[in-house]
Amino acid sequence: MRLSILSLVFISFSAWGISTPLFRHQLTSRTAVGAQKKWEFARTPKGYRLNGLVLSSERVIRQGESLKVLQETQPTKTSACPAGTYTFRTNRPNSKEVVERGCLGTVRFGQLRDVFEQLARR
Amino acid sequence: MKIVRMSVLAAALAVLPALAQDLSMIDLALKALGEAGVPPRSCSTSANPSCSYVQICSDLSAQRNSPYLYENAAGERIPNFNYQALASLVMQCGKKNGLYDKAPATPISGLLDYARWLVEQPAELQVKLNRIDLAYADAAYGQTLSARLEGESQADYTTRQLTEAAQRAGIRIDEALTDAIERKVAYQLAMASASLQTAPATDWDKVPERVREVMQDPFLNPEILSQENEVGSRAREQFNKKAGEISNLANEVRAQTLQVLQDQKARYPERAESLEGMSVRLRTASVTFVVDPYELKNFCPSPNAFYDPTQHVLKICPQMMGMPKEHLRMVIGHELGHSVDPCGASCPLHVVFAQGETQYSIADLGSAFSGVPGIGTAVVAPGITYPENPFREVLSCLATPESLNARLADPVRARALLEEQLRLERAAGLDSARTEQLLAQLPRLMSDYAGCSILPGNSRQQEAFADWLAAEAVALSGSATNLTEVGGMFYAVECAGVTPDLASVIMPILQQNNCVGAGEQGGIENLLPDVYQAGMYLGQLQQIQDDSHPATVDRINRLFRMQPKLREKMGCGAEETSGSYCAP
Repeated sequence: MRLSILSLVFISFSAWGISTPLFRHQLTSRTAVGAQKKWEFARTPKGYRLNGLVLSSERVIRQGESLKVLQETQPTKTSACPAGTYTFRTNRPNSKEVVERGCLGTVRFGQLRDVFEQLARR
Repeated sequence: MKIVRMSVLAAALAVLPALAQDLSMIDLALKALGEAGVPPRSCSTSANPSCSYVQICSDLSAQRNSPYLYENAAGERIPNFNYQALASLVMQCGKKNGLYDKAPATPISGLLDYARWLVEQPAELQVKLNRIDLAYADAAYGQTLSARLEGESQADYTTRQLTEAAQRAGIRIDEALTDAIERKVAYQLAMASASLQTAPATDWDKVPERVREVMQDPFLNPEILSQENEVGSRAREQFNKKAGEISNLANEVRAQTLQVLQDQKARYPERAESLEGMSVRLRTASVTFVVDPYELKNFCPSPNAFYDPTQHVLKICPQMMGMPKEHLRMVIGHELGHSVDPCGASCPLHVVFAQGETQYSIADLGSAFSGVPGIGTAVVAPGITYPENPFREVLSCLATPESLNARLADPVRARALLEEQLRLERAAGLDSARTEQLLAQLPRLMSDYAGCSILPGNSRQQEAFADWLAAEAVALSGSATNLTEVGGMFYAVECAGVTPDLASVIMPILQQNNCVGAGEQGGIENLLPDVYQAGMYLGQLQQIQDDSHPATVDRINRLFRMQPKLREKMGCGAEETSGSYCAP
């Protein structure tokens, strides 16, 4: 009985896993004085989340085009970063975490931050 | 089924301000929550100074449920960033539910009807619609939505997208669902039109007092500076007044750092020339405040102050400006210190001047503007190699384990990187001239610029020296202070125990408002085997230890607490120490 329940859970979970794109984009900034800020946009089996808060599907649909910025990870830049650094991580099931690092104050950081802020806007 | 129905009802409420506004309980709960913090109190004042990092953290943690961790007799405060993050969440949730909005000029029709209709539908239909929505959003995220056809209206396009989403989700469209999709399309069009309208203004009287205090303070929420209303104008006034005070303070600190150089000249007269070059750098570095919205967004996501060598300018973000004066003195001393740190000082400082305007930079502006009529260029301070640095004894001392253990750039690592690259280039038959050239220059680069964090090994000498100069400058000032104020923001960022307990009260309320999903306890990473857990932890440690800043606890205990005059000023003279002072 227990085994069959487990199998059922496993099968449903696998089916759900195949049909549902689960991912997490996380942007963390660390300023020159050491203060950190984190943004997180995730798709969970229950739906979309932004910074841990529920995000309506409508908001994602409205931002569709601009979400490309999150999916086109850029190579890490290793120049000196006087204002501080950012780390942009993308996690997807069955693939290695993708990590991009760069400097605060760059166009790329602005782009990334914009996406998270647009999603948060009403 | 009841649970499903309730969650769909909650989802409907979340997107419908008008319905949520009826629920005065939410407003009351958020108000109670926002006012739960106890008022800030002064701790570790000069009457009873604490000189222990651990004790200071413990003192400050008593204020964890307040917007400020510390307040001195002059009313200067150290903000509680974790409390502010919670206040922002409350504000965001309240705004999302329309709790803090002024009534819109024209009511948006259609939204309320759809929500009322939806909550009356069978749970099965509600679940189907939810799944269709998610499938639509997934396609939007994945950039796989089919294109709009020529001449297709917005309503037809949205209907087609919802129908295609239903197919992807494996949902058969029956008569009831067709009707539901029609209603949903009308609702989405109304939403889109509502989003085109200007967002309703905030009615600040409706915002809980403590949340309002945080959100209207330009030094905690700089975005308020760009608001064209009475609140924004009050914030700008506050900002300008503070900027004037900090400019004066910066001149005071500049004079104190110059005095440190002067004293070194008296000790080592043969180093006068290089010390004069450093003085020029300190005198010409300008101090600016970040206020432009673009710069605010890109440079000040959280409190920040930094020295930009390409413009020879010190930039201070608004979130730093409300800090106690003695903390600002330390921060300004530190950032000015970067203009003469062992990397900054090793690069020549250039100047360009034209029509009364002057621009300094470590970039070779002379080459860029060479031959351009009306533009003059010069080198105002030559580079000083690391071995010739006039503070070389201090730099050596800062590298010792008794002090900050501030490592230098790593020539062995740099050589290994280049040799491996050379091997690969040769094996692949690629041009290796650049790598060979770098390899030949390596001994000089790694010696002359040993204090530069940009080189392999991520030297900590720049940060350590900037801290050292700041401590010397603060020691020279006549004002009274204590270690809590000198360390200021470091405690707010690093101390364990300053996170508000309120989180456990706030989160369930946010959850009830459908702002936080129920029962979400982190991701799958928490369930992975030991080796993954250990690997992730070690990866974090590696990242922290690779940082060019020494650890905060060392900066406080082994540097600011060790400067003899500063110790006396802070009332720490008789306290036990855990490091050694690096005398000039």
